[in-house]
Amino acid sequence: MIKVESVSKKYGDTIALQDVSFSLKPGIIYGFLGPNGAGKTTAMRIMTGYLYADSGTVSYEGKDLLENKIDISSKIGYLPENNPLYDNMRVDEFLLMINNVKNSDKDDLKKLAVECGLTSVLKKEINELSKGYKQRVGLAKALIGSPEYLILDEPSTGLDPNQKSEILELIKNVGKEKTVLFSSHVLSEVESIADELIIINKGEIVASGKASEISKKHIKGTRIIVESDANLNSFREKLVGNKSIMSIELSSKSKTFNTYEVISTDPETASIDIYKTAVKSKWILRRLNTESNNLENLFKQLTK
Amino acid sequence: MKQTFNITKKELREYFSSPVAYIVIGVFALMIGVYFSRNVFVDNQANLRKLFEFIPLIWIIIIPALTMRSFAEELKNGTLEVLMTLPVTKLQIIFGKFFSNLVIAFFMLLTTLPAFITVNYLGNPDIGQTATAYLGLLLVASVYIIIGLAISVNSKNQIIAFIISSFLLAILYLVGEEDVLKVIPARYHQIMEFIGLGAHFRSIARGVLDSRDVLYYISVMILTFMVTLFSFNKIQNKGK
Repeated sequence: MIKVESVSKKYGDTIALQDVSFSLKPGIIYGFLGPNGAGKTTAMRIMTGYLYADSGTVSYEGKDLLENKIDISSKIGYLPENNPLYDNMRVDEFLLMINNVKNSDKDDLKKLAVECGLTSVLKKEINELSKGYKQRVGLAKALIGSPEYLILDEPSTGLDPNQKSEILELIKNVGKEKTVLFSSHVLSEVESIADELIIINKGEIVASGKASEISKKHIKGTRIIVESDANLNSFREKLVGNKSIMSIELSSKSKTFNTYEVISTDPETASIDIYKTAVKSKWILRRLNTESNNLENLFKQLTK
Repeated sequence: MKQTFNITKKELREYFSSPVAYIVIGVFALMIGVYFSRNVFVDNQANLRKLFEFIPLIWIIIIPALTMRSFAEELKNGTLEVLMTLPVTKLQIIFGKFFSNLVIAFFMLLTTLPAFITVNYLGNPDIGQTATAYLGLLLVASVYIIIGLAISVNSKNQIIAFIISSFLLAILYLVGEEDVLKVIPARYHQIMEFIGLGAHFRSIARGVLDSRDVLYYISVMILTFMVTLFSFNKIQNKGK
């Protein structure tokens, strides 16, 4: 089990992480979500020992990371952000170098090259490879030595849809026996392979657990999007008293139409009421639709 | 030790998979060849002392050209993160890079062998003196390399690392030289000769391995190793 306890980190005056705590259990794939600059990369760098935290600790199976750096590092497979690689090395040279440093079996390396689809490019220099192949090299590097813990910072960046699904499938397969934490901006891919989520915003963990649990706990209502020519004051005035409507917010404005975000406990009743009020008030309704509580909405609401 | 060797191997592979090592060794051999062939008959002496005194001077330019990329390139490309998250210590990384540069310096010294053979053919040079001088040159190279690494770990820009390293080495080498001392008040001579790297090499080039000189080189190396290690901690704190 990986435990991150009360970790804080500042870059000058900017707070990157504020008292962040979470734990990761084996055999579970964790999706690490958050907007740009939320602190995902910083957290991952601290978890791999590349960065020092200002305060707090990271432990693996109860052992402090910094006190047992060498032992723990040999059990971590890490794919850093932007996948930095030694460009003028050949693929086989690079993987062999990592294999030697990790003291792993050479035969396993051959199997891994097959698993990651790298056999055709082993003799090529890394700088000659396409982004997709480079990403595979980075992932193969992370998988060398069959690490117990996999920490992957945006593993699917820059890949085409086919490559993405291949890489995700690979992560899903290896994740059955390992502890996997992977960050991503693409919510659909997180949804497809993550068992649990950790959502971070402005350096703080805002939610963690299974997506359905987070939805239940954090999302109080359902979002209804309304596009109408009604102005904010009259829209609010006529609808605020409605029992099924929790809040109304103006999300965008144009010359003739405004877009409102209505949060409702009973979206069906609320939609009928909005429609009736619009007819009565002679508003033009261009859009009236209820959004389901998918991961995207969850993400939007928690990282506002 | 094994991990240091792995890092050294990786560094050498990188050096020799690009033109860097070949150019550096080639330029060094060319300069040595020109200098030796121009001076050997003028001096009319069967020894390599003048050549040995010339080598630390050209290394002021050549070794920073090697070391400038050691960390600066890794910092720029982000690969230091790859290296530092592997099961290796910071000391192993620094030593690995240090030894790889020392191997290149050794190859450079190998290119002086034709000069040694020529001198042996023309006269009867003192082998012990020559061996001491070679050992001294490896010590000088070690000091230059670790200073170059200390600068490189503090810069993402290779050119800046090169300029600062060369500048620092030039000052450190020249500070105790006779021509410099001439323009400095006599009361400062002793301290400047103590600090100056060149002053400590003079007796080694003559074949005298004084323990004070060796101690000087080792002290400078330890001090600079500490600076490099401290800079590593700075990277891990700041997330450069």
